[in-house]
Amino acid sequence: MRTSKYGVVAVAITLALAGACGTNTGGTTSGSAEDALSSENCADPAAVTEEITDELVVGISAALSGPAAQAIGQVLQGAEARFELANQNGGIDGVEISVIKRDDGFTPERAKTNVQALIDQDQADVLSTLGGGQVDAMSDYQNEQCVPLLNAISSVPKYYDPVQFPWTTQDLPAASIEEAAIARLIEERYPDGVEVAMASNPNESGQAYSEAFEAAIEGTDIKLVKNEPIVDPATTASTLEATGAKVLNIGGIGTDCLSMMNAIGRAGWKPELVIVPSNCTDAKLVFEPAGEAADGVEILRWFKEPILEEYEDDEAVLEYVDAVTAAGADPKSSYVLSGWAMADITVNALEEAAASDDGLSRIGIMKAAQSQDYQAPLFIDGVSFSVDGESDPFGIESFRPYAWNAETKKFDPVGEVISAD
Amino acid sequence: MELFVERLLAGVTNGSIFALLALALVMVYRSTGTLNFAQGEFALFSAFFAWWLVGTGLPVWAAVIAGMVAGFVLCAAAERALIRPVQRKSELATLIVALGLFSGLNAAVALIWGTDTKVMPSIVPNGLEDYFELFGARVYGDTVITWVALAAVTILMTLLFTKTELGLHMRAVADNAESAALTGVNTSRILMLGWGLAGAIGALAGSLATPLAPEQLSVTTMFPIFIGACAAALLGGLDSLAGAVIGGLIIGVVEAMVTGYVPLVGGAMQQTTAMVLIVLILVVRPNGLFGSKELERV
Amino acid sequence: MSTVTDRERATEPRTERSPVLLAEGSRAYRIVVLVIIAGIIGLALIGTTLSVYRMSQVTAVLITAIAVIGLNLATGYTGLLSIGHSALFGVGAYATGILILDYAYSPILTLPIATALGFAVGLIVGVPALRIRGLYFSLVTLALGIAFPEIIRRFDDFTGGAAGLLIRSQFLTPPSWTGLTRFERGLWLYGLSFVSFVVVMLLVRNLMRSRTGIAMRGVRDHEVAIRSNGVDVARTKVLTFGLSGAITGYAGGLFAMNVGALSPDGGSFTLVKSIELITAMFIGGAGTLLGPLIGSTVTVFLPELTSTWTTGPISGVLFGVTLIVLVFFMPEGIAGRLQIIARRFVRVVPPDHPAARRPTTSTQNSGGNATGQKSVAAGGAEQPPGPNSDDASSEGSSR
Repeated sequence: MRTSKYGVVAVAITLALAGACGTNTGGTTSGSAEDALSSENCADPAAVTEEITDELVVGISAALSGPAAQAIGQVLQGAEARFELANQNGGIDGVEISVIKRDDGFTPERAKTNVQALIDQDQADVLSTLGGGQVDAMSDYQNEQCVPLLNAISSVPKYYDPVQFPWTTQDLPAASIEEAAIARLIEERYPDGVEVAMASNPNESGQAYSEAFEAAIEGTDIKLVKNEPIVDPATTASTLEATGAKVLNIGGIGTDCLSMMNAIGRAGWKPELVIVPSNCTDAKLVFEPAGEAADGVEILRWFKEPILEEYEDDEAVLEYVDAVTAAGADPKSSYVLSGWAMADITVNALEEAAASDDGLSRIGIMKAAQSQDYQAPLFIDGVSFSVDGESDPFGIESFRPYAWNAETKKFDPVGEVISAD
Repeated sequence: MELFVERLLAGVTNGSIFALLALALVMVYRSTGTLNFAQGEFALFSAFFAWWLVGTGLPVWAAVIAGMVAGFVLCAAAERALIRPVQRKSELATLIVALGLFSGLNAAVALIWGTDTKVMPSIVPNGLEDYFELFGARVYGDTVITWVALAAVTILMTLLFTKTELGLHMRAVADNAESAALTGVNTSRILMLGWGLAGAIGALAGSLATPLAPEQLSVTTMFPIFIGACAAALLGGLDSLAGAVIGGLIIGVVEAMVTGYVPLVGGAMQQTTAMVLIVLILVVRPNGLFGSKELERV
Repeated sequence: MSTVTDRERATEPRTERSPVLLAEGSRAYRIVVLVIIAGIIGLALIGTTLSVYRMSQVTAVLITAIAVIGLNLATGYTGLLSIGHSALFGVGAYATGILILDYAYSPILTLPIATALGFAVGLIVGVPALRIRGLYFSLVTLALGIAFPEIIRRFDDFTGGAAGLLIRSQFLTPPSWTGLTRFERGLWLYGLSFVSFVVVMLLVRNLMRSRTGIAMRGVRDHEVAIRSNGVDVARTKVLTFGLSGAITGYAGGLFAMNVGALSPDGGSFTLVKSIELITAMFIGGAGTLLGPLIGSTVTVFLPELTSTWTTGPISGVLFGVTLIVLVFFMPEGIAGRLQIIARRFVRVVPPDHPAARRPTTSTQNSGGNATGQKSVAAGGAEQPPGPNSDDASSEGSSR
């Protein structure tokens, strides 16, 4: 591949010599988040400051068809239940929220057409989506048109950047934050340092986790002895077992966690500590199918959930259970919860915007979304969603570690809330 | 040593699954001269059917057999109703019907059983303690059963083709359908039977693969296995049973070894390496390792 | 329009009515061509009045259509079934993306390089076709299709890896001579795609009428026979695959400019894309000139249409059923079928075709049924007598 890189360079140089090299009008935007967040650079500056009075349209592009459709359907059920609750409580200062969904089949091409359709045809005031690839396809147009894309359910590093992408936010904790907290957790358990092996999937999420963990352990006594891609889990497990590491950090999504837990169980490898990322949260889909192999595996959480024993009777949890059950959704599904959370944080930003000087306008909403300090009723005590422009673009920054108990099929808390700072 | 054996066994197990599905592809090729692009999805449908039967309380082995019967019926019916009418039109038309089946079956599975991940129990006990050791590596029942199934299917197919009249007829149809028909062979029945057997073998592959597959049983489980099986069948030679078996094992083992021992390439380029190797082999042997010489119609 | 294959001739329904013969180079022929050109320009202009969203969909159709033209060259015309065109599409897209982001190229100047790289990779993949044939060759293309996303992920410092490349709009501003701002990028890309599509289509049309084009169809239909006629089959195959790769690579470059987000996951450059291209080619009509456009229109708009009636897996089932039904009732594809129907009424023949000089009276029966014919007849009536215009003028006078 190296040679073909030179090949491209050679062709490029030839063209440049021929005087064909073009000038590039593009450059990176510089300045602060406040400068970036203005109506000046927008396609239609007047629309950005206009107050939304009749109805607030939330446009969502998501895979309503294809292999992920069922899970995503549950996410949307949760989100719609939360918006519905807001409407029942009088809307946002009297403005009703309505949701328009467009199917992107998880392809960037269709997400791209969807973002144009949602903005130009459906007149969406606020957007959201699921998945990093979808945000990638939508971010440019939506920033150019200055329509807020709020709390996308993804964790792409480049979108925690209010200077480059002033109109985009994500609600999942950044991989860098989560892996920093994981590093903190490992340090707590092994104050004298320890050898860690990592298994990461070869996709975007795995790459983000790997890079984040490597950055997080810099300057600590934690040593990453090997980082293997999860291609064939059995082979990955035996390769990592051979390193003799005491800790295994898995960087992947849902099925990667399941397959790696199964694979290390079968290889007979018992690391002292196995950690999976928070997206592998679903008990029914990830932990239960792994049986014995998942016993003691740890995960960072930040929600009070109906599946956590100590919060079963919590007021916020009961309200959540009632609302989503009424909407026909399964309150124990982590997908429903994640949709609810996305909508909950969005509703908070909308309410704050309505109360601000800019009012419930697109710029008002975006300013509110960039300086939010929200202790959601469903957050574990000590966790909040707090962002503050470019100085702190990360929402969730604290977590509580839980370990799976294969016998009781429940998560038990294994320590206090850890902050990534 | 232990690590090497672990890798080797993982490769052989993956390879056995590829080989089983590749045998199904070869069966189809030998009857109708087409590559059945939907073979993996037929297997997926049968595996989901078996999973559903297990849910109703049927023992796993009975559910797997029922899944094989379903695979047989489904594939035979597809041959008779959908493939045969278009087969004479063009190769591309047949391929598109298979693509239609691929998409339709996959979506039908999602429609009937949903797209969330299911856990298909293994036909043999596969708890964490159900293993024996081989040179220090753990060997589980559900991996051994794939080797056993591959061996059994290979032997049964060989016996069928060499020792029975039915097999003789199948070979005659594969060689030249028209002259076989002239000698009194019921070609129509033979073609359906070829596809049906492929469906049954595929169903077995699907049911055995899912407890081992990274994503367990979901709508995306069979596609990567199907790609491996395609490569295996073509590497071995599209009309050779032995070729499918050897092709499958080679691919499984090469992928596992590359991941383990070629750090530069590593797991990230596992499939690429295997595919490049296959292409190189094909350049030397254009009809696969064991394929008959001229497969193309003149 | 002269892409008559044996298969199509065989399935052509026999009709009592003889078609109007249209001799190439005749005045009537030229007028028909002018009408078609005017129609194309008209369509292009209508397209500019569409909303941003619809225009972007039409751009997507045109880009897909160009990619399918590339595939059609190899698979439809020459019979080399490729499951790896997703990679050729990706090569072009990544060439454009990397040149814009890392080498500060203006987008349009990346297209020649995207095309050249597509050509080079196509040639390399075409070389094994010298020895490997039929489905085995398809495996070679499958290998390419599988390898591409893995290579992109592996060489991440160069390609952006799994995280992908994002080309932001400030890099995609239309050239200053167009007078368009960066917010009017959609219009620029629409125009560029439209012109590209028409040019590529004309190039392929001319290619297929050339000696090389005849050799390509020969490779598909009777390889042994044309080899004995002295056609260099090996050269034809490799060259075809190179050209096919060049066209699909060009389409990939446009895709990068249009979507702006490139990633090895998500289906833009995986086997899913190959299947989409094959499907579009078949629905439109393999080995036809207009097939790629029609097929791409269907594959871009059909999912949106079905998702308005239903969501979830039913759309997938419908898609599969539609595909199979289509093979049963329209195995030659939509363009193929239209061509057969059209040939009942009008048939284009070479200028020296004997039938073109022979006045026919039977054409009367079918006269006036189709608007296309009226223009032929009207054109013919004004035409001075000439060796090539007999059929047209007789048609005119017989009315």
